[in-house]
Amino acid sequence: MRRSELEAELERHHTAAFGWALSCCGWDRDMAEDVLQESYLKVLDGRARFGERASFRTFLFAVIRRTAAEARRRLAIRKVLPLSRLERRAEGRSPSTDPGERVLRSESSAQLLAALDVLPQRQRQVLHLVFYEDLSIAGAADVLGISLGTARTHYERGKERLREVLGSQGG
Amino acid sequence: MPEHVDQDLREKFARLRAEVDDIVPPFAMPAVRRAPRRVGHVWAAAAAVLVAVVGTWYVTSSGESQVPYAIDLAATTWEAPTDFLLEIPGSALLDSIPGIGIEVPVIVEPTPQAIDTSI
Repeated sequence: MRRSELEAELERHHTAAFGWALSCCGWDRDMAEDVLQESYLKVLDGRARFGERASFRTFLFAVIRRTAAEARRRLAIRKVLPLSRLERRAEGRSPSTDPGERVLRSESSAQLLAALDVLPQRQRQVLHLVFYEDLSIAGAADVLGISLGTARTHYERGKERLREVLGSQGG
Repeated sequence: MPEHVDQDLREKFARLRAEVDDIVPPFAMPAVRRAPRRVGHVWAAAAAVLVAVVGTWYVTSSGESQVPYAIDLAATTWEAPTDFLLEIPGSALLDSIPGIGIEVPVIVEPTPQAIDTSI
C-alpha cells in the first residue's frame, strides 16, 4: 500500500481510532493523542506493516493496542522513579484516577466508564470493540490477538459483569 | 444471539460514542522519521564493511611478516642437557640379546670417577 493510500485510510478511521486509543489509555485524552500519533508513525514509516490479511481497521486497532501497552509500561516505570513526583509537582497537577474525568461530563457516560473500569482489561476491550466500534467478536479477537473462543468467553462474562455493576449503580 | 438482547448496552455505548465524537482532535499527519533511520543503517553498514576490510588486511599482512621467522619443527632436534644421566654403566648388556655359546664380554665396573661411556 502506498503512502498516500495509507494516509487516506488513517484519516478515514481517525474518529474510531481515537475512541479505541482512549479506551486503551484508560480514557486519558493526552495519552490517547500521543498513542495515536505514535501508531500513525509506525504505520507510515513501516514499523507496522499492513499485510492485508485482515481489514485495515483491524490492523490499525492492533497497532494502537500494542502502542498503548508500551506507553503504559513506560508510565509505570516513570511512576516508580522518584523523578516523576518532582515532574508532577512542577506541573502543579496530580494524576487522575477517575476514568474519563478529563474527557466526558455526562453522567450516563461517566457511569458506564466507571463500570467498565471494574472489569478485567480483556473483557473491557472486547466489549468496547463490539459495542462501541461495532466489530464482530471475530474482529475483536483479531485486534486483541486471541482466539475466537477466548474472545467469546470474555464477551459473555464481560456483559454479565457489566450489567451487574451498572445495576448496582442504579444505571 | 439476537441483537435486541443487548440493546441496553448498545444504547449506552452509542451515547458514549456520540460524546467522544464531539471531542475528537482534528486529523494530523505525523512527521515521518524514516529518512534519518535509513541514514543510520547506511553508516552502520559502511562501518561494518570498513572493519571487515581492515581486519582482513591485518590478518593477511601479519601472516606474511611471520614467514621469515617461522621455525620448521620437523627439521630440528633437541637434546636435554641432562641426557648423560641416562647413560648407565653396562647399557650394552641391556640392549643385546644373550645366546648359548656366545662369549659374553666380561665387564669391569669402572669407578664412578672414571665412567667410560664408549662401551
